[in-house]
Amino acid sequence: MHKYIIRRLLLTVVVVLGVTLLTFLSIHLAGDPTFFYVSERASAEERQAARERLGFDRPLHVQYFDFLFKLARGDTGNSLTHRVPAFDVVMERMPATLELTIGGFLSSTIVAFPIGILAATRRGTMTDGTLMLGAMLGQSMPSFWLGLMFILFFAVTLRLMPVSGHVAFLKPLFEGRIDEALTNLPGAIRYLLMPMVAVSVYSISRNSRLIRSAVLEVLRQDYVVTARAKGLNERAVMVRHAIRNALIPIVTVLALQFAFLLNGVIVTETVFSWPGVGRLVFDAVNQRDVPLVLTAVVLLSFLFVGANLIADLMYGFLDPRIRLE
Amino acid sequence: MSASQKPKPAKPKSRVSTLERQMDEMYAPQTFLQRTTSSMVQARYPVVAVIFLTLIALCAIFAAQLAPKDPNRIEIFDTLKPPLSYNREGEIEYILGTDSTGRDVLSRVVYGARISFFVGLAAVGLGGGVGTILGLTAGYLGGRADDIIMRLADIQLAYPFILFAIMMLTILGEGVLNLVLVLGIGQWVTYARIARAETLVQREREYVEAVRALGATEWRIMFRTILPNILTPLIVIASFNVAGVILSEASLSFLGLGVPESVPTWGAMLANSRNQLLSGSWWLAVFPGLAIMFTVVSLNVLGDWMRDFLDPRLRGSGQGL
Repeated sequence: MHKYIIRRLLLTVVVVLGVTLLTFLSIHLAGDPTFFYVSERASAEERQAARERLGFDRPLHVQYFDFLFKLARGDTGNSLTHRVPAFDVVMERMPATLELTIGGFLSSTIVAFPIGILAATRRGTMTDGTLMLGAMLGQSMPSFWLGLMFILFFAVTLRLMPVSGHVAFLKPLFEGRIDEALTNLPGAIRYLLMPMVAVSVYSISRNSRLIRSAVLEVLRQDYVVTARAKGLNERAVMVRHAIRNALIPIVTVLALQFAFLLNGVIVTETVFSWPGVGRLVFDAVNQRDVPLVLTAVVLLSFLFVGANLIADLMYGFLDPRIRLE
Repeated sequence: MSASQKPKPAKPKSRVSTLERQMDEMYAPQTFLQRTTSSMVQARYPVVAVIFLTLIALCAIFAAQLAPKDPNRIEIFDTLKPPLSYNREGEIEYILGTDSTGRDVLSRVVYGARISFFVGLAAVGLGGGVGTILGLTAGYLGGRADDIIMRLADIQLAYPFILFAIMMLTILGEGVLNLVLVLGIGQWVTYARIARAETLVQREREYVEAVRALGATEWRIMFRTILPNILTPLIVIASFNVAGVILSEASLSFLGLGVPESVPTWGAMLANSRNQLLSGSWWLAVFPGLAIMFTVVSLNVLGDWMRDFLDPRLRGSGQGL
């Protein structure tokens, strides 16, 4: 087990290195990073001077290794557009993205379980049919469109919800200002609600379909028949025998969901003017802000890889028969 | 044959021959088309999906003939007309209304089908093709090739697709083919992983051994012997994947990436609608979104049916979604 974790962690390092290399190469292929840095009337000499000052005149591999060594020491370099350390710029925005992603992840998981289990136990009935039709529709709507529809209906027509905006909750919490976080909480939830639901509808639909089929698969197994035959009540059969075993395939997909969610979050942030990393990266790429793009991508891919790692380790926990080597 | 020859007398109808005929009909080998249609009709929903997709495909192909107006024609006196509004002659001129520059929404929705369909099919073709070949190679050759290909896949999986797409499209610039390329690259990993897993199974089968004993080249074994036997799950995945790619394309167009402004796409229409939402111009946001949703629902329904029809083993595996 320990060996497995160490191997997985090493692999994670390889993967993150690969991600940085790819990002590094592609952003440099995009053109001269100083193009947007110096004023548009700058002469060729001034441009060259800026390039030398920022170190962009060095060979690419030197720049890349320089970036890596600095990264290892926690130094990400200054953002070209914000002129402060890129790490700070990204971390300033990260809590808002996390709020949306974690909120979406939790709500999609919590809502999907009852739907999936209900549909599986009522297989073939109207309930099952309606729920699965809803899931099919939910899976076919772009999250950003759903966001627009929410704004149109709840904010513009009914005037129940704010059109856009954000109250910070995680940021004060991370910075240790718990009082402020708690006072902000009601407002934060109010602003979070529409974007969160927009982001999670796709995942709710996908997860509930998956949970339904995983539970159905397990209900066919002999040990469920045995459990029923020995007179256990249906509740015990479902909870102790069926659902626990159905969890393994579900957990895999839940972790992968995190990736899908993050994709949706980046687009949905635009709809609700959410001050997250998505919009930041988008602008940073457009302005060729090399340090900022690299930092954001490294941090986001850590999130990704971390979620997958947790899923892998969960297997052994959920099913002791799976021995990780 | 002379005309004077008498026609053969009809066989007397006996109980036995009727029974025989019935048996023949029952056990007659159905053609693939017959089996497909009867299974589809039985499931009902796929028929609706096929009809809708045919309509959308017709819109895409004959957009120039079907659209009532030029999708880019600006009418400064007819901006933000709601659906079914009358013109000065008292006729309904804009069935789905107009946008903030007076462009006809219906025409733009019809034209938008082009990009969605073309990009969806082309990107899945590209990603599916490349992914299958790489997965097949990784699974069959194993060793170094397997390591390299699967690590590449891991790296890509650790990379939020939308970031990758934003970067690539900024570098490559606007254009339908660039969009296809980026979305195609985004898909290969799924196909590679499934192709690899299936190849690992098929590689050990006797028929592969037999072909090898006959002296077939490795190349021939991979592409003529194994490939046809791993195609079914890949086709099922592809049918869902088209839906996914259409959603991704819409997201990218929504962010203003992909095709030039002059090409109407559903995603870009939604992006433009955002500024008009507060003024209550709901039609700008509703219709392109419905077009996306119905197209994607139809593809998903079709994919579901195809999975059950082609490969019941996959049912409930959660793959391809």
